[in-house]
Amino acid sequence: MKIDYRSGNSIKTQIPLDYKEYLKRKEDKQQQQQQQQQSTQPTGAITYKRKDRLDEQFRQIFMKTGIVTQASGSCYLEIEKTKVLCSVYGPRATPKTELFETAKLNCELKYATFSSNKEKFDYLENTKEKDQSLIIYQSIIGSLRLDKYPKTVVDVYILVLNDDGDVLVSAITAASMALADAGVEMYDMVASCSAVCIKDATLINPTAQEETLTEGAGKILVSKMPSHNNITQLIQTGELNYNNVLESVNLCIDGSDKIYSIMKQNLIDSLLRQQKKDGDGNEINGITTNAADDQMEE
Amino acid sequence: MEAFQKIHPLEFYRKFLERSVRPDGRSLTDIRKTTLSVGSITTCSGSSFVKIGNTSVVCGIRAEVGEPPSINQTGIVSNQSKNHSYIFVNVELGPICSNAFSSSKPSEKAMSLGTQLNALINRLDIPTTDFYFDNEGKARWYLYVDIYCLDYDGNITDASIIAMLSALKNVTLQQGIIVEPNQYFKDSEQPTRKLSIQNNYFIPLSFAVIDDYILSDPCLEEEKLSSGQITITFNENQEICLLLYTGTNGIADDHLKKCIQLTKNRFDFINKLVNENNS
Amino acid sequence: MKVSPSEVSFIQKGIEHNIRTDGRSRVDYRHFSLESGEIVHSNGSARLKLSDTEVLVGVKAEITQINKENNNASGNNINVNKRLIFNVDCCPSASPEFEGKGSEFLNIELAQQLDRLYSHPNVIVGLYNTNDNTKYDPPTATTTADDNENSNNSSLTIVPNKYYWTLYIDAIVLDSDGNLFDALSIATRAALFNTRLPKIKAIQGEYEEITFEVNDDPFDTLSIDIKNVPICVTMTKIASQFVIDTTTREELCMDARLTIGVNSSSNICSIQKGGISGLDPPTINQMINTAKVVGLKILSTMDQALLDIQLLK
Repeated sequence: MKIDYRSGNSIKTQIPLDYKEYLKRKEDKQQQQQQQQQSTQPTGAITYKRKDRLDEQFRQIFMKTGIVTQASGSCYLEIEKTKVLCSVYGPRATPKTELFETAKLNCELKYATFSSNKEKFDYLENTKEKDQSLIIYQSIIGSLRLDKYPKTVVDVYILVLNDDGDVLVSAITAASMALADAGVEMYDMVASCSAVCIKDATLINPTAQEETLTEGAGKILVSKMPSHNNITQLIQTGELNYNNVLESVNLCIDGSDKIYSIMKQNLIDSLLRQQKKDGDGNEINGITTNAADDQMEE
Repeated sequence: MEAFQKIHPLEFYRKFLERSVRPDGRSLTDIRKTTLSVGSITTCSGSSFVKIGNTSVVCGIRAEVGEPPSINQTGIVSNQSKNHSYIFVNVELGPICSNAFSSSKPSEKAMSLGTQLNALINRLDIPTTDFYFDNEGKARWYLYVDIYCLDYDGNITDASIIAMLSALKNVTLQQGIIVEPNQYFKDSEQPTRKLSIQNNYFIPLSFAVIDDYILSDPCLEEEKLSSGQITITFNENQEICLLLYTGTNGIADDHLKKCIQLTKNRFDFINKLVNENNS
Repeated sequence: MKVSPSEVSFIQKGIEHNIRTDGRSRVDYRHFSLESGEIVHSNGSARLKLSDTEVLVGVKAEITQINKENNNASGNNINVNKRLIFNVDCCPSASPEFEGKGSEFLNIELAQQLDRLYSHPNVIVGLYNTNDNTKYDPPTATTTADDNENSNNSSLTIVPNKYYWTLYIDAIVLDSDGNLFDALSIATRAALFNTRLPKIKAIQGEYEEITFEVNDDPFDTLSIDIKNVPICVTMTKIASQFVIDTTTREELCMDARLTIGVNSSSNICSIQKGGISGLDPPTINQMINTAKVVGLKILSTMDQALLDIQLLK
């Protein structure tokens, strides 16, 4: 349930821009327009070069499973500044009396109010959350063996704490990790990767700034189950020609393979950790000690 | 043993409490490990992350600019502007943190906690000039404090209060320029400033009452079994600024005194925790 | 609606043999009929009947002011720059599944699909005078640039940096027999073709305020150039093959579908996957390729038909 966080305040407020940035933008616009008048080049052809990494390079990824103790499974994921938390409840019984032959999957993505410094939260924002929830749902449902859990529900909740681009990729990856952590039977984990296509480059794993470089820039998101070589979700927006589409899809497929190897390693590590913890716990007769927790913290 | 715990949780607890110990190994007065980190969220003006045992909350503050309602000519610091609030607290206990909450309707717990925190934070003595956007205070900063619970394992009140306060201390505000009415810009050449709440902090501690035992820093299981809950919050002068008791049975005088003493003992720890992270 | 396992197997086997229950081959489209201008009070409308699938699309144009406040608040607010706003409603009369909250997610999915299809800033390349088909030049920014994006569908400008046309595109699904995505995209394109915008003259008043003078001659209007407006083609994978233009029955046996947006310069404008199971990369390539061919064919027939309509009128 989204409550308008501004509702407590009777005064209309807004987020101020940076003055320098504003002046700079104004200048850029003027220059652009001058150029437009001189040449008849199509608009929106912005050249952009990444400074700190290659076009197909990922940002640092950090993930940790099992951090929400109340949930059946959970995962916290960080792609540099993008921070996402996902928790999975279930398979659990449902209060509804309907009979399902297979388990039902619910997927809910939410943005924390402070997760983005640009956009306002309003009605459209709400449909954005629902639309993205649906994309995540479609990405992961194909990987799960829901027929193993008749008459139950699996709830996946995702909270975006900090949005610095590539939220959907983070959310899909976190959701798949959390489901694995919860022990829901699956064919394979879902890895995902997205790209932004600008005039002369395809940027993998874009930041929030790169996502908004040009309006209506080509964006591609691929999620797949690598061991089946099966694409579970494919979303593209913006006008691109056929070859560009194929090229970027292939780049994203390679990207998701990379993410997949990180996911796998992480899951193995967390299992080892858990095993170690359980081993320690048994020695002291079921009472988990703080010592084991401390080790985990380290 | 597990079956016993499931079927008769209260009996199970009593067996432990008789020996002055809790099932997780703590004594009755032990407080779970409390950690704090600030400034991890880059998209907002101030943020903090607090973990008490398994309970974790994240708090982010969005700063926005608005024009305060008509300022009378006699002076800005009138009695009225004192009552005018600049900080708005909102607590979210979503389905992500526990299966006790649903996504379709806001939980009562979150709403009551939000109201309490709102009341508490507006008692803070922050000079009005701290909220000035430009030099004259024609426009002011308004802070929206949003607290999200990530893992709900009891004692959310303590975690929220600590998170709220440390996030507030983490807030950096920028001097701004008003180009035209309603056009506000941050001026990144001016130095940033923090809110002057150097000597104002809250030290909270919550208790659960089970039978005749008082358990400090209860976990979720203990909160569920308890017949009453107490929250005490001190300000920096070691005075009580929030005392909350909910429960069906009355509470003995010396119990309350003991609780107050325990909260006092917590004073130095929280004090240090908040200051260390905000230096 | 539900299908029995034997029915599923019947449909699957038929598709394997390239013959579907209604006698079509895998890449055959059903006949469809388009009517336009049915809703008198809208700026443009179209009704599409594709076998039993029936959708009605209305376009309502409104003048939107971009106020500085909004712009300032959120530098890059999508909301402010959006000129086309989509809304889809699936009538409960179309299918019992749409009753109550049943169509909530489908509505969003359909509207978002259209939104993605029109996400490119130059979807609407221009306006022309309805009378003589001459190009109409929208007023362009001559003053200093402001911080909003005027490159986005700039042909819908009334006063640069201040007033724009916003097109509210509302679609209603009246009856459903599959292939809603394609039907909606075709109907939307036709509705845009049918859209007539009144000519507006902005008059600068004394105190910077702007008043509008609307030309009330019903024949002296502006039309939208739909040269660059895409449609989408949904490829549905059933058994080992993929088919286009599925019926509801076929959709119930689908494994996965790929909705691909194509425009007349044969560029891909959007892709969206749906359905539960996955697809392998070679199949996706094939699907996109086929969709391109089919899409271009539909576009050319459609353009011809729309021209005929116009000549008749």
